[in-house]
Amino acid sequence: MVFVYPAVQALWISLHEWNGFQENMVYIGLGNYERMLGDATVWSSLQNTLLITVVGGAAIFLLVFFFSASLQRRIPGKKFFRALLFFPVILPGVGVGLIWQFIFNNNWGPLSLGLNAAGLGFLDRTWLSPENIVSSLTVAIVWTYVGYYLIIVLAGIEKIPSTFFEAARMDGASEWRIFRSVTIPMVWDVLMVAITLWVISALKIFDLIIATTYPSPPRGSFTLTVFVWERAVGMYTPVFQLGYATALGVVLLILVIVGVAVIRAVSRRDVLEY
Amino acid sequence: MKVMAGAVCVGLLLSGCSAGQSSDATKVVYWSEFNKGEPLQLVIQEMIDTFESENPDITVEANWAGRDVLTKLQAAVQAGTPVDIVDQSNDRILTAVVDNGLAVKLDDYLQEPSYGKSSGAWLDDFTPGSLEAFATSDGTFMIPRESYISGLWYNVDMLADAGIEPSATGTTWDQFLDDLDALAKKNPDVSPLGADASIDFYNNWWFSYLAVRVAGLEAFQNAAHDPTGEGWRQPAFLQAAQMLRDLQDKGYFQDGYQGSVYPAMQSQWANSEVAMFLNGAWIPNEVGPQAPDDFHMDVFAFPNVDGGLGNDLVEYWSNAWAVLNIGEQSDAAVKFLQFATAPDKGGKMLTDAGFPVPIQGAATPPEFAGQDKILASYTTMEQRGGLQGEAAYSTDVYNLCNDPFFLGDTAPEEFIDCLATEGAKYWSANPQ
Repeated sequence: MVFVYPAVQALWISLHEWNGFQENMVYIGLGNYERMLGDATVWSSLQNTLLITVVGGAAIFLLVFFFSASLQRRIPGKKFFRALLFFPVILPGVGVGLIWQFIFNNNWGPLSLGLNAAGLGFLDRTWLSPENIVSSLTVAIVWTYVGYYLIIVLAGIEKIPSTFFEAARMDGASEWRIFRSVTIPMVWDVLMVAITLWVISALKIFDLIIATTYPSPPRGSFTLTVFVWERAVGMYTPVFQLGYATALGVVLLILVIVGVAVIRAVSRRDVLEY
Repeated sequence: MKVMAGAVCVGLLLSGCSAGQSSDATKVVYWSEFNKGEPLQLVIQEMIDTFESENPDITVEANWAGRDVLTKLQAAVQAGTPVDIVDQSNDRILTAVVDNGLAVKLDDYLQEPSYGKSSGAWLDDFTPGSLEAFATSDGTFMIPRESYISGLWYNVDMLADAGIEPSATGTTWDQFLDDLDALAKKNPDVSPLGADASIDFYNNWWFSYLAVRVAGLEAFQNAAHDPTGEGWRQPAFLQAAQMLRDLQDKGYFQDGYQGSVYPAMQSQWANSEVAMFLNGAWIPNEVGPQAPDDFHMDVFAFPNVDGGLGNDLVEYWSNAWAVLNIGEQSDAAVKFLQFATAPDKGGKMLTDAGFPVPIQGAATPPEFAGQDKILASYTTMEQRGGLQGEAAYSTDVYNLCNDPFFLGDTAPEEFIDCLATEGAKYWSANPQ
């Protein structure tokens, strides 16, 4: 009831033109969906959403592999590093966004100042300009979320009996080989859950983008969720197109369902029991 | 005896309670764009308290809903929750409230005596033209509270140091270019112009003013409403776009303005890294408190263009109140607004707090002297020549085309082509 009723209601609203202030909605059939096909902002928002999901996801899980392999070892300060990596997760998205808005500021932000001070001024960019904004936001997103997925994967690794690692070492396997042939297969299910969670949250990402570009995200930074918000309520110049915004939301829901189904299909393999 | 005394005491207590709760009082429900603690919220709360003490039969229940008050109002409309008064900027009130038939027409009320008076008309409390500026062809649906213009805000000392002392009105485009050049030469480390390009409706300010100056307001509005979009292809609009591109090509805007997220540039301005920028008259209240004590700011009107058809026009807008027809206490709501705009009541409270109000005889806060001078000799127009109040066109055509142009990603010709093409597409989907 909690999920199905709003979903069906959303589907119904998406077939209407409605601004939220009038009591009656105007039925337009698939008009909102047809409009999406010719709306360049839909496609650029979709492109940004998929870029963050795929490139951001690849970066996050590469870092997760790197850190989990590193933290698997007996190194001093292991708990500290784990807490440090997890730290951004406990910060509110709005706060993280404002931190990154500061970092990316070309005048007084530490990124530009640091690069110039280190003689690497040629690497300095207008980080939040239209051509760089999505890449910059992706970096912020990776920094924010890597700790969360690392903790999930590490929790899976810690469940693996140590005898497996000891046996592999006795057989002369390198640390990399142990990670690739023992750790990954034995946390495969956990890894897939983590990837599924990432895809869902990446497709819905909102607060960090809004906060980094607050108070008015430029169109070039729109993801689908930001576009839904802009159409529904906006910030400075609200257009109040609730029917269209709801149709965009329905597309987003379909994307999430398809994304999860694809991950489940490609990740299916025999369960290892131990 | 003891029983009687007890009964009297209980009676007095009960009557005391009932008087304190004002259970018979008329309740006006007011949803405000402000959050608790903001300067204007404090002023309005003071108004409510004073109004209630002068009118014990009316209570004003304020909901400090914040800037997304209109979004919250959607839910109220759907749920049938009575709301009597709402406030926001005039363009948003127009789009969300007036255009949807939710506002009470106030023309008859404006003919009634103003607050506490037995003769005269409420409309006489307002400065000439200020009500008309926010009226529609169907009548008056909004009451302006604080009113603002837009113009070029500048660092007085920095310009004086470069030998520039702008007059509030009458600057020409050629003079303006000379001033920018002088500023750039005098202090190469300072950007003559600044912009926070993260905000689309700030970005469209430059082209809007230039287009209106060169082509005239009527031509500008006609082009925007041309169902074929071809109106934008008049040479005057290309000329306006090229004038803006000229400023950008000369490097007058600060480095990286394309990625400047509001209010980063305003901080640069307050720190004397930028000389001037185009913005609204909220700047004294927005930047003033953050600026150094010795920072002096002033404003001059957007430059006139030689031979232009839209010179001596200035944008004028207001944060406005509307009385809603989904409320139950229109008369009491209007009475509160009459109090809020009475020169010796709410009007005084607003000016004492440093806000410029369109009320007869109200003292102008010193920071807004420039605004007063401009308003004294210029004709007012709506924001962006009226396009700001047409939210969908503004977003889906005007800003869609202007943003890439302002950011330097498209040429003037491509910009004009975009306006024409997207305009035609928009009007085909949304016939007038």
